[in-house]
Amino acid sequence: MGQRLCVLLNIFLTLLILGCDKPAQTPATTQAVDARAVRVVSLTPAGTNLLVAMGMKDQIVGVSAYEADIQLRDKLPKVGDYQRIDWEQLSAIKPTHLIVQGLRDRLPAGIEERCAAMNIQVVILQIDRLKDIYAAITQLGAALHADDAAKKTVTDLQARLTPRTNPAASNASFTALVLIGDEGKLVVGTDNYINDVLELSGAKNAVAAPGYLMLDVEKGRSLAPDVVFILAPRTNPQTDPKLDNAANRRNNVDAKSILIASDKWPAIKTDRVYAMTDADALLPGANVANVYDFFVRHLKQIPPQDNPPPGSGP
Amino acid sequence: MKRFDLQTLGVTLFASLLVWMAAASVGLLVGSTGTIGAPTADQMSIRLHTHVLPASMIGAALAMAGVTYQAILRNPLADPYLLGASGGAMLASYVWRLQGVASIAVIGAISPHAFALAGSLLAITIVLLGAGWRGRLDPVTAILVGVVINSLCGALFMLLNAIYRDLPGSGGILTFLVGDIQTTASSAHVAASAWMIGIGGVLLMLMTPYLNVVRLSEDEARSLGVSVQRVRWGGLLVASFVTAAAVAISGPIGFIGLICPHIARWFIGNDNRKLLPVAAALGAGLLTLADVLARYLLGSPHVATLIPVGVITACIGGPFLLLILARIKQ
Repeated sequence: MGQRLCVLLNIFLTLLILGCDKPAQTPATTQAVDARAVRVVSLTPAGTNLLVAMGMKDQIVGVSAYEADIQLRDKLPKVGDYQRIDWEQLSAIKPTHLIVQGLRDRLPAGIEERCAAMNIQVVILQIDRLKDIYAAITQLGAALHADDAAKKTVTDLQARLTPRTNPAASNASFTALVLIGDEGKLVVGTDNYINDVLELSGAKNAVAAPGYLMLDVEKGRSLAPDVVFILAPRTNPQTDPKLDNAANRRNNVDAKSILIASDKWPAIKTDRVYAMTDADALLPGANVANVYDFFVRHLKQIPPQDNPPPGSGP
Repeated sequence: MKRFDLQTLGVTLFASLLVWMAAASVGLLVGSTGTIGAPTADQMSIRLHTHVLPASMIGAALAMAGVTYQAILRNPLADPYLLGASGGAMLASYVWRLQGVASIAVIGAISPHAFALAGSLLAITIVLLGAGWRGRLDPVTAILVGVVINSLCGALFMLLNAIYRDLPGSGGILTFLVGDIQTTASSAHVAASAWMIGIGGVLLMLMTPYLNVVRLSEDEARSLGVSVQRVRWGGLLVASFVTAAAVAISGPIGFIGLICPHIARWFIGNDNRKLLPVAAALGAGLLTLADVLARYLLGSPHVATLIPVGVITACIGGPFLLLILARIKQ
């Protein structure tokens, strides 16, 4: 009886394994496609942003559930995110390219494997610094057969991000603190694209440590920013739908926890706290030009006589 | 003990297969965005390979592990999740993903499973040590220690994630913490799990007569020529083996191993020879249905992303656990 049982279960197991191991579709050779023929699914909002900047909005056929572009998110199928993919929808959409963001070795192994079986080219963007945004545009241009559009986008973006290094024209001696998100605890340090944009706009980051850091009240008291920028996009579909209204969003930037406790900051005393709540405020995409404009616009508002003496920051 | 012939086995397996096939059919009819209808060939293939078969495999594994843990520990509350075995396996398979660890482990596709097995066994050992007293194992204390182990594993998982950020898991931190049918796991890992669950299932099926004997007192078992200790350790090892295989590709999906054996018992009684295949089929069916529900809910405008199946099984399993506790009290 035991042997028969083994045989029965082995047959079931073999069927199961054959089923699990079989690719969903038969592999096919990669076909040459031109830019108009590409059909792109972007699982990274930054990738979508870059594609739109490159004039390839019409080629986007699917987005992530966390897409920042509300128009696209409402219009196009939501195919998952960088960790979870709706293969059924992906198969129905039949894209030529799938854009994801992150390190290749952090990507779940099944994504590239299944995409290869479905003849979808995976484009992995890795964006940390401003130069990575330019590199990502070039990478997208090469992958999507849109080199010219990529070159133009890079040139346009570089033209908009003009460094403001002249101390007379800018407020280079000003220290700025950039808070991100609506909890008011995460701040922008150095070695990232927001800091790069901040420096280009002519301000100095009040935080010297690299990366993105949690700021508590104690650490906050050791800083003395002359200006505080809050980048708090309200794009998550799980947040209150009322916040999709721009006016409501501006009223709901509640990055106050650290600000309330930091009444000694020059920025608070002079009421120089500015919030940007655009949906794409935190995307490492072509929208960094808008962030740059936002920084510059508010730094320009500060009268020259308010410039503190050099070295007044921490 | 009643004689268990081939015909009875055949009927039991056939009935179990029907249960699973009914759930699988529903799984094939519901699309990834909650749409219901006959699938095209492409959709059928994707639903089968991405959802129905993995969910069935994982559900069956957890249910088989539940039957075994409940038998060998003589504990109606035993379940891979509540005993901490799933939590230990989850943490260990996450540790495998740490840079450096993965390069040391050169066993290929089996590596995360080997780590998961080690984690699962370690967790069970701690539970046995923590809840055992003079050779007796208090059921409620065992669950309590299991819950502590689960919390600890969850906390360590979060700690690792805070330090290393987004290791190459197969489903993101949330889905790996609560358990989900991973749609981005590599086929090699899924196949490795399938083999392990299959082999473990066969071994457990062969052990079922002994699991029946273990329910008796130690002296009675010995008089029947069965070493209770040997069966217990063997059962623990194999149940942890299938748990690890499931958790390595899904994270710790809770309560399947608790609910399914109890439901199966209502229909067919306590004979583990029938209980194991029926519970396995129920586990396969229940997890498939939980996955179907997750996909169906995605069709609602109020649900933005796919709900991990671990959330759904917990919603069903929590009240079920309370029900069992109430019955134990009575």
